[in-house]
Amino acid sequence: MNRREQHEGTSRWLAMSSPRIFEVSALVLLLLVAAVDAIAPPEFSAVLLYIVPLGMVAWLGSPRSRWLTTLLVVVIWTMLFWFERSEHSWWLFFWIVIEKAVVFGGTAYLLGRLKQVLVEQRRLNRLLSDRVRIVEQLAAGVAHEVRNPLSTMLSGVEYLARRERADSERLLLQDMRSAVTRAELIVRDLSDFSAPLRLNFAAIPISTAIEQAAREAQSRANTAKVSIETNALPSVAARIDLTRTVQVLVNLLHNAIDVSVAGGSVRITAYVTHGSELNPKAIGPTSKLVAIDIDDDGPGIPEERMAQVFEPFYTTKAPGSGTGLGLAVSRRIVDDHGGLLRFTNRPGKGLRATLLLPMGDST
Amino acid sequence: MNAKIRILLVDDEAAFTRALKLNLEDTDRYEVSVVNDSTLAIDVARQIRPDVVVLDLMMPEMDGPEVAEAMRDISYLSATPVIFLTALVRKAEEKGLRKGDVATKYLGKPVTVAELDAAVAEVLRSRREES
Repeated sequence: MNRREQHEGTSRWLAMSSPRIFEVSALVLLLLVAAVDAIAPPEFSAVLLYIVPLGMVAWLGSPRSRWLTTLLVVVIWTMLFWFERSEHSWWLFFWIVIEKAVVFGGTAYLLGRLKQVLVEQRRLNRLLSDRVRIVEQLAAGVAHEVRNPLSTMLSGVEYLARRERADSERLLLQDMRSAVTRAELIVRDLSDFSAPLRLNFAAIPISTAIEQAAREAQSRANTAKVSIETNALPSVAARIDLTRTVQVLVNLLHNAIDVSVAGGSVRITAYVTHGSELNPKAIGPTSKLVAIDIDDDGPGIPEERMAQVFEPFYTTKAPGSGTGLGLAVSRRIVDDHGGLLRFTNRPGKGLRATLLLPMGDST
Repeated sequence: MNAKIRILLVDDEAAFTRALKLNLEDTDRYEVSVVNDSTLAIDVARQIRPDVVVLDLMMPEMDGPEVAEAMRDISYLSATPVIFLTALVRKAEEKGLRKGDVATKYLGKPVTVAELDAAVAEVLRSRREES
């Protein structure tokens, strides 16, 4: 279940536990009582005196209802005692009225609170999903609107760059071109983050994805003077969308390279593991998975920050060198693959990013 | 192929069409006509009879697929290859993408001259193979 489904699942559940559920349960309760009253001996009718007020509470469902219930109980029991007062002492009467008032008042209060909490939670959830939707629409809109001017700039720069130029101008145009490319990458992240992903799954040798990613990350590694080392890869296939998986791997490699010192290395290892890795509660191997570890010698992630790394716009990089969307997008891609992305600090040894992907049908 | 390839470029972004026209004509292989108001696209296409039509997917009044559709109703334009340019983000555009029947080729924005060049060559080649 990916994040989106989880979110929708929660909303569905909350929509069900709307105030209507109180009304429905109250109605069911009342019908039940009526049935019991019809077939049971007369003593059972006393049950009505408990159930009816509770039903009323549920029916009304407002904080005011607990006072109404308490009042109702007092009135009912007073009337009851008035008719049968010859048999009982007034002390007993007061005792019973107080007891019932406390019991019903307390129950009513708890039911009222529960309803309040549920309604509030539902309101917050709706607000949150509205927010998320607005942000997604905004991101998609921005991505679209920015691409058009970028197209104009790219086309213009291309034209100018083809003419004879002094070195300084040539350099300037090169800078402009790479600036446009960078802006385009940000837009891509933004639209990946906001638009639904279209994935084309196929059984692809894991070495294909890793080698392609290593090639794409090579220029960044060269600039940082960091080497990418790939350990012997098992000849297994994963069920993946190649382009998107490579995007995730490149992103992880870039992060690893960025925290490495010159002369350092980033290591890639791949191996086959079991489905219980994905779901630790599952007993035994449910299905086989392909795992890819990317190890670096950087400072790792402080445990208290671990939960934040997947949040959109969370970044520790200097302004301009990361959008803070990389891991948010990566996680989305991995979720949609039915896989898992996790980070573990290797004590004193840097960070290990582990990507788990479902194994392909053919190997 | 000695004569220049006639391209009709339809996009509501005037600055973009200006720059792209310059770029394409710079290759000396293309003759580019520009239309920024998509409702005029068909009239212009009738006059110049382009070899290839490059259409922006999202335009006010009449969007890319609508222009392509209208072209299909005109006998001498019905076989003209179409290249759609798209920012590939919005839902409305995805719908256009899925239609597929009138489209020949899709290019994501921002588009480089090299990409467009290759796309034009490709659609012309596949058209020649068809006929």
